[in-house]
Amino acid sequence: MSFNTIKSKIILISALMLVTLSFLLSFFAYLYLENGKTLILKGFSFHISNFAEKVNKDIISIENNAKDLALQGEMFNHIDKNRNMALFTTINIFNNYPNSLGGGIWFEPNVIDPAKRRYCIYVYRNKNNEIIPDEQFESEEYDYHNKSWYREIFPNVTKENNVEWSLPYYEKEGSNTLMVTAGAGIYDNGRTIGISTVDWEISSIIKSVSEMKPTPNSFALLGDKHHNAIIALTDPYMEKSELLGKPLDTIPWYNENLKAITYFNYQNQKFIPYVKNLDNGMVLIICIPKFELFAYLVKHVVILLTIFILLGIIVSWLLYYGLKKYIDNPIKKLTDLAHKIGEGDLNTEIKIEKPYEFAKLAQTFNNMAKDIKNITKERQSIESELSLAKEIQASSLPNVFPPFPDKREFDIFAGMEPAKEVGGDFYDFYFIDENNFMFLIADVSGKGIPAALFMMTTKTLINYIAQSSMSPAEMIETINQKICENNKQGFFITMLVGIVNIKTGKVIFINCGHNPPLVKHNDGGFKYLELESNIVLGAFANAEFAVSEGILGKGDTIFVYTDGITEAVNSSDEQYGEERLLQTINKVSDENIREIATAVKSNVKEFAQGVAQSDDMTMLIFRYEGSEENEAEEIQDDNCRIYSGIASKENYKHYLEWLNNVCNMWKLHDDIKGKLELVSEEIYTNIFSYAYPEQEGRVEVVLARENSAITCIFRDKGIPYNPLERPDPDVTLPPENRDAGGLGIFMVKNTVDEISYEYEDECNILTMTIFMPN
Amino acid sequence: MEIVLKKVNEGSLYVKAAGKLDIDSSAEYGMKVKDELDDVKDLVLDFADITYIASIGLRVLLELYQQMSKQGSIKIINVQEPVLNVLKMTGFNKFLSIS
Repeated sequence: MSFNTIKSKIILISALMLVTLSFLLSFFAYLYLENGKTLILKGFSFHISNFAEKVNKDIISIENNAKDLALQGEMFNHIDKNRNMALFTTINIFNNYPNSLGGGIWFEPNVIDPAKRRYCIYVYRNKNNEIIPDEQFESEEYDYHNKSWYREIFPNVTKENNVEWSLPYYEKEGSNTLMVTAGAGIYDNGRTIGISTVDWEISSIIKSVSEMKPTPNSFALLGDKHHNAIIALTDPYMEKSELLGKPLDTIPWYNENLKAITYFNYQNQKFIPYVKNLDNGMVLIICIPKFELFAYLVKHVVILLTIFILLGIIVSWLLYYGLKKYIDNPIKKLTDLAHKIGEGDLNTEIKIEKPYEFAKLAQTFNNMAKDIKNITKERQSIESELSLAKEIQASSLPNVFPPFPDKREFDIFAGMEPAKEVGGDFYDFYFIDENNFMFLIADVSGKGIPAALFMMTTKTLINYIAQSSMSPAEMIETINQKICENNKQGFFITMLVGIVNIKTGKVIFINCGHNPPLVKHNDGGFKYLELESNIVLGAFANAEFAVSEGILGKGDTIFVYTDGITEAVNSSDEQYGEERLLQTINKVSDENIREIATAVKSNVKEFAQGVAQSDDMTMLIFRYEGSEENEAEEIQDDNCRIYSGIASKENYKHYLEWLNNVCNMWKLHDDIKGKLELVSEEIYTNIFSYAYPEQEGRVEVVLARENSAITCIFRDKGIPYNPLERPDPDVTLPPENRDAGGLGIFMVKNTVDEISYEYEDECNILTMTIFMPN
Repeated sequence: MEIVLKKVNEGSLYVKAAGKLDIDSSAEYGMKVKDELDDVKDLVLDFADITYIASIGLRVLLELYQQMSKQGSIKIINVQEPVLNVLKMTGFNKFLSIS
């Protein structure tokens, strides 16, 4: 999936939102956690303080109990030593201290009764919470003086610090439990005569301490700092019974500074110590695993975060699902439709109901597809019409070659390679009379249907006007006028017209702004022929057109073309150009004129390197093969021209054209031209009238030019006849007596400067010379 | 050949042609004029646009002259120099009224 899709962007935005939210939530969770920690620590601290206070109260109660007992002991000693009374009072005192388990007063040897080494009063609380005396301690066997508690308490009590605590000990004789005892001194005149004791069963302390268990794995230590001894320990990792009474340092985690530290490491856990110094010098230390302390909180936060993350995932998924449903899927549908439309499938419709924007877009797509369908239909019909138009246009051009198989005098080939659409090039050719063959190539400005229509009209117009036996210049002028009349669109046409007399080889060109023709004389190469230039057709109604004339010899070839060839471009935007055309056409073997067209076409295509043809390419090639019955002329050199042909009234026109061409070529004076024309007509007429009276025969005319004279020789193989022997007619005779006979030869004799007759090789040879004026 | 014939008034025919009176056109010219000659007393041939005349054209002129000499007169006007040269050479100027 590309990153540049709406889908990916929206997913990214959602993800960013999710991440941001997560950060915020995490931050709040962190704050919550920290705040919770502080609260929990405070809570525990408070809780433990309360507990410590309670223990303190117990301690004070026990100590007070001990003090009361001690006072009672003093009174017993001082007043009456009434044991019953003392027992009663002791029980009453204990009743005042409901938390005390038991205790008594113990005297030094022989203090109360000199006969008695040991004297004590001891009561205890039974299971029914009744205080009853325990007389087993009064037996002589119970040597309390040597008990550890007695020896620990007795020496240390003073009037000032009257309460002392013993170390923990096992009371084998009594309850057989571990206990500590608080004791106070009993004095008589400043002498310590005994102690009172109140027992504190350690199991109950441990029980309380165990109850003081804020978390499942927390533990507690109760220590006697004064004696540096362990009183109670609930550390699950230690063997407690062995440790009781031992120095506090025995506990690995214990040290004096515990109160100052926030936690210590023990058994791979972090423990938070709460240290409470009790009033009797004991110390209560509660150790809570940090993990457990905050476990609930962490659990809480974890649950909270999990809920948030789940919510986030659900929201993201909903977002994704929504986007997919409401944006991505419609886009995909629309894309698919667009693809289908692109592939030409216009029958598919899509339905999107929501969201509204996409529904609208989908409707637009559907409408577009319908529109395209309609447009395509229209276009298809237009296209078929266009291709039809193209066909019509192409078929309107003569395309059967050779077009006049029975005419041996010339060969013609033409072709048009149309550009993509119908265009404006055309060519045409036909006889405009028996011997004059006209060919033309033209290019209508512009392209497309309008140009094609204009071209068709013009082509028809030219054909029509060409048949009306006007002179070439007149013909073109008329065509131009007609085009101008109907040219509201401002089209113009470049056109090159050639009119060849197929009997004589005389050619007339009229170039109306068209590319110059390439002409090859039989012995040379193709050359561009410079013609009289004229304005394009369709520009000015009154334009006049100049003609250019020439003579074609046998094998001479004319190549005319449109600018689609010379202006064909290749991928480097170079034009094919006239020079390249000249080179190409001169390389071609031109035995068959079709080969010229094929070679030029393929060379242009090769040059274009696949660049699409932008204009029609049209070529027309005309080759003059000479007249079989009338080999019009054999060019000897520039100063000598020979005409040869069948002498007939019809052919005289051709001869006359040839004569005209030679005169024009030699730029002879009109006077000389007139003389030659006159002489020619008389002699030529005589030859076909008298030399060949029965059947047609050949005449050969030689025109030779010298510096000062033109010589004209007529040869025929007809009836031998010397016209010079005929007497001149009497031109002085009155008309009534004249006939027209002999006038012709008379006129000839009077026109030329020299004339002679020979009969040689069965030929009548009449040689005439006209001197040229200086 | 372009030939224009106009009856100017009763008995008068005006003929104007353009081109050459050569082997091609002379016969046509002669025929067209002769067809209109009935009751014509004055025949005017306008040679302004005749550029050339050959012997066959002279023949036509002679025939026209011979016919007109029976019924009226013939006059050739606006003769151009090349044609005039031929008419002079052949002595036609001597009997034809030329201007």
